[in-house]
Amino acid sequence: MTKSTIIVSSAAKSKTYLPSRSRLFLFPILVVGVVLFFLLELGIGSVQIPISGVVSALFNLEGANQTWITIINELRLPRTIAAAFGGAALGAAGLQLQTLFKNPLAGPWALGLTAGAQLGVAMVVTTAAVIGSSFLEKFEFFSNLSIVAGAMLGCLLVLLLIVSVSKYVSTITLLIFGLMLGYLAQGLISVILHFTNQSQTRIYAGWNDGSFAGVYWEHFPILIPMVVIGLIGGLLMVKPLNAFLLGENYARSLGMSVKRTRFITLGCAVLLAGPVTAYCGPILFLGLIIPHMARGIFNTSDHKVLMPAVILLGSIVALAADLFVHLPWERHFLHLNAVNALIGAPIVMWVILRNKKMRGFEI
Amino acid sequence: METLLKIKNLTTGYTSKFNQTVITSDITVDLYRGELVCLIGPNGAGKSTLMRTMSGSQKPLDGDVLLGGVNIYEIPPRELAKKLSLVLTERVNVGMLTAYEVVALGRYPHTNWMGKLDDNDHRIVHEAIEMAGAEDLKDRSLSELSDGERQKIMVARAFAQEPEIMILDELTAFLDLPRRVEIMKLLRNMASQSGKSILLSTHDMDLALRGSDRIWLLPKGGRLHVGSPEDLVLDGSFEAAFKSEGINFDKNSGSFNIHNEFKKNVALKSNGSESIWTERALLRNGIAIDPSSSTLVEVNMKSDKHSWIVSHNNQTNEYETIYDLIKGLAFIEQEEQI
Repeated sequence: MTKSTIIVSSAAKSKTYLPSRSRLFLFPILVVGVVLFFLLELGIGSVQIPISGVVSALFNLEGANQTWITIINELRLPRTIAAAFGGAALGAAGLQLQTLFKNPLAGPWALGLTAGAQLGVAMVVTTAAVIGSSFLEKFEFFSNLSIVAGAMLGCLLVLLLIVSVSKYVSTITLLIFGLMLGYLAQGLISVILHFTNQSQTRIYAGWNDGSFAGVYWEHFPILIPMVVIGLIGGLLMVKPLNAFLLGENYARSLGMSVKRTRFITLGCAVLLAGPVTAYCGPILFLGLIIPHMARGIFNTSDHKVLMPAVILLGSIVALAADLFVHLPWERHFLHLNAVNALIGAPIVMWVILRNKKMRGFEI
Repeated sequence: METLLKIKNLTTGYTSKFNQTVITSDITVDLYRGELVCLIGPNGAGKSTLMRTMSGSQKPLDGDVLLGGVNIYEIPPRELAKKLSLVLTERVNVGMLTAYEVVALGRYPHTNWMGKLDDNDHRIVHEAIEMAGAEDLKDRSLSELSDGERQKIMVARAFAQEPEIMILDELTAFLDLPRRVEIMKLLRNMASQSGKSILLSTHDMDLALRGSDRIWLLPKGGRLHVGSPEDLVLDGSFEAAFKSEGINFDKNSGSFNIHNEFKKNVALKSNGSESIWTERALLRNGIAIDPSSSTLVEVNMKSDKHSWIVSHNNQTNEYETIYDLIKGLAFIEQEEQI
């Protein structure tokens, strides 16, 4: 008995030990970064608007330039909000999937969720072509919703398939499975689109070139609540996700309900990746790379730190990528996914090379 | 002695759609406060299944596992986690968590929805790390620790969970002897000082015989033998359990004989530790000890250095090492075969 009291007193002396808090000062910097890129997105484009002009237009201050107000309200603000929320959503979904599958290369895109959403949208577009798009156009809200529903359903189906397969296959094999699911979906999409008319195909092709620019005010009542619910869900699940780092069996022995955690986390991932893909089209790489960037910056795998970090960092990266796309280039315009690939592919290569287990692949 | 876990008429195994596979049957045994129990038995006897069933991870086919009078698989997971913790054989990969953070995950069933640690939690985590003798590891990333260091951290994590019972599956596999002895010492301290009861499954017979308060011996297809290590050796349970596996357990030395077919015999005349080790070498090489043998091995004790003298058919050879002695004996031809 005396021995244990000795242990207690000596431990109490050093209780000031604070794990993983050393880099928390970076959070204010990330918040400032989000605000900064948000304003830059609004200001920079084919028409340059100074930051002061952006602020006065945003808050409708006296003497605000009417043209600027129109440009910002009609074009740039929806796109910027979409980028901020989209990046945050994809980052959070990526982190959830990576932890749940214990797979550093998981993400909405790598696991085929994006492809599932693409297939869903293609089916909706085709259905619209069959039953007459005028019907859907009359009920704009309904058509809006049907695309989201299609994307989410596709997402969900792929996810269910991945979950059931993940019990039997290893990390890399699961990725290859996801990749194949993606190809399968692409093949199906191509066949489906074969039976639609050209204008429908064009609508799909336009959507399929992922971009935040296709989002308008009327989409937000659906997009924002879903993403917000997904993000809140992600933040509420930080503790079980931390336990999940030890693996399913240990997590269960700690008193975590594995089924419930799986269900909620995957539900959140669908709520995050589905609507974003529905409105912005397939956005590649962001979901995969943002969690790694957050781990690198904060030097931890603790979800209490990582979850808010991926949300802020996701916003920043998506805003920055979209800003780069919309810089006043002389000719043409850049594709968002091309920019994502330029940042993303090297990061993925780095992850593979750094991770001993992923370097070798035995057959 | 206070009983923490009561196992009554337990049958373990698996049920599939069509049939039931029974692994172990009719086990009745208790786990007491403050004791270190080693579960040993040959591979395939059902140790892991028994441990999974005992810890509530797997439903029994029949019988009960009672923790505080309640069936263990009816206890809500979080409540169970406050009473029972596990260390599993699987190697965990926790990414960029430090050892301290991994131990702190043991506080999971005690903390709020965010997993926020208060001063008391930090104190318990420190205590667990100190108990495991892992203070110098706490700031390092778990992924850069050696196997032995990892095991210490996983034990500390299970301890920080503040359970009454700790169940550890093959904790000492992959560890070298000093590390195994160290972990065993650590577990003995944990059990006796904190009043937890610790169940450890192991293949390390020697350590189990020396280190545990009680042994649960599970032979293949047989019934569970329970008792102090010494009792199980003396009543022949040990011998019987491993006999079917083709292994001879020697009651006198408390170890297993690797060779059991004797081709020759010698009479051995010596004493002290030389006697023990010479005998071991002879037995290993299939040479039995028989005082009536025509071959005599005598250890010649000198003050500085000793030698082994072999007399056979009026010939005498002297060897300076046991190694040479064995090589020399190989050339001796004995007429009477055993």
